[in-house]
Amino acid sequence: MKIVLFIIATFIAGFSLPADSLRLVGVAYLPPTNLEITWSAPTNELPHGLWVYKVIPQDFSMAVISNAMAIGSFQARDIINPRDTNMIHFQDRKDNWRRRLEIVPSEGWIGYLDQWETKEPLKNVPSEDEATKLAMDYLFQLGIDRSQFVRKARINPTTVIRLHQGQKSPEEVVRREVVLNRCIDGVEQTVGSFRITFGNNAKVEAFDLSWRNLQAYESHQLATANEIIGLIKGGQAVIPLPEFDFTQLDQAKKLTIAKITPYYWGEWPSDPQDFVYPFAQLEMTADLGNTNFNFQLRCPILSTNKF
Amino acid sequence: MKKGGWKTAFDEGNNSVTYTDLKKTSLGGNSIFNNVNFGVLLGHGSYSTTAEDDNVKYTYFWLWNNNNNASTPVRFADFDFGGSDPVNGLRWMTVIACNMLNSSDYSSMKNNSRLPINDNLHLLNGVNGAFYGVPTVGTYYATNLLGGVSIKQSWINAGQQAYAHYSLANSVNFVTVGWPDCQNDTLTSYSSPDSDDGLQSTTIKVSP
Repeated sequence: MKIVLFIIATFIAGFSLPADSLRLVGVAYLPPTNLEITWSAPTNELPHGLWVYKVIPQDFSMAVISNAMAIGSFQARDIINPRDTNMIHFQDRKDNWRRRLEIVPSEGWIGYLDQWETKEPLKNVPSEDEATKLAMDYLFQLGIDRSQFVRKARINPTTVIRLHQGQKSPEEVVRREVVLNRCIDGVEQTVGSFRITFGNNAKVEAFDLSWRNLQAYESHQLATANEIIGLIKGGQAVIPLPEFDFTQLDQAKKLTIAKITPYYWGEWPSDPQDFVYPFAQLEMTADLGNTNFNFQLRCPILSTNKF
Repeated sequence: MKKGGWKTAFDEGNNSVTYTDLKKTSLGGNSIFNNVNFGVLLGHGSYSTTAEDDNVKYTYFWLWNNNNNASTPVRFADFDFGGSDPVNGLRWMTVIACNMLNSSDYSSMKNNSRLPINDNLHLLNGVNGAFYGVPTVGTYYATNLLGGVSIKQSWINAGQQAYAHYSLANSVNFVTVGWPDCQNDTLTSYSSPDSDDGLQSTTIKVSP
């Protein structure tokens, strides 16, 4: 136990930021002390180092705020909290609102929701390709550098089935949500930095833009394979599942790290975040003797060595 | 919810949740949820791939018993959600359990008038497929509800927000079933259900 604590303390000591600022969400995993862990993951495409970024207040320009207001058909008189210095908050009504626009510069967040569901017949809900193109257009309107979204968009449809007088309607796609993740230094951020939902006639029904203003805080070399194995053995890695059955993993005779992918940690757009930091997502193979079991681990990726 | 001025009528778990309390009065039960405005039932659920003798495919809620460390399945159709009292009756019910609104079994129950939704319920929120227990889903749900977000959208938001930090191999689909007039209900602004309009079910993939 003393050895484990020593490893954790050593790891944290190399950083000047609070340890709880580097949290990883998942089920804690502490492998048995005698379990062999080997490395077979390619590392030739990994960067030599990555930055930890401090989140500082964002400066949304008047043009961006104006464009966001236009998306929601808001005017200056719709502000409901004129004295609030942390948030600009528009609503179509003070109570029982249908449309809401929130702008929180400290978190770099703009959120819009039109929650009124019309009974109008389905008409011109954009296809996946159309929705993706529209999402990129709205990013432009919101002043975002679209080159920082290099991965393919994820599309989430909302479907409806109506049951009337014993008749079941065909399943209809009534809206499509496009989710795009920001890349920082070429490394994708977890949690969508931009989510936008289109309904009838491509009307924007909701969007969340999380564009935190990042200030380079500390640069570190990436941990070596041996250091990452040490972090796993020291209980620093987590399994990124809400529920995990350890029955199979407890029988493992050996673990192999088959792939490593760096990510930047991102909180939900409206949730606060002090630091944006990288971590490793590891594709693991557990040798159970007569079969293998594959699972993922999230693990710190930065060495205590600074650049 | 307490922060928003809501009061807890009852808060029961494990052995305290009984079949008698949950099942409908026509089966000799108490339908205890029908005496509150907003109900949440959390547990395990399963669906069927074959029909029972009455030719209906049901979903089942599993009741846990600490005394014998075992669960007993009860038909979802044995429940009856919706309160007639305009002040105290159940308007919105959320069942947080896997498979309770499995699309195939939902259709079978609906076609045979065996859904646990009566004419007084506004909306039933649930899951089609797997639900993974995450500690923040309730917090996000309540935060959205109290912020004036609709009951339906709050459920979707809760799923999206709570699962955002996890790496799930299988998708999670949240479902809202209810009468068309109630689709825009919020905690403070809502419409009376009109069952003549037929039920509407909305499904959205909240993860990954």
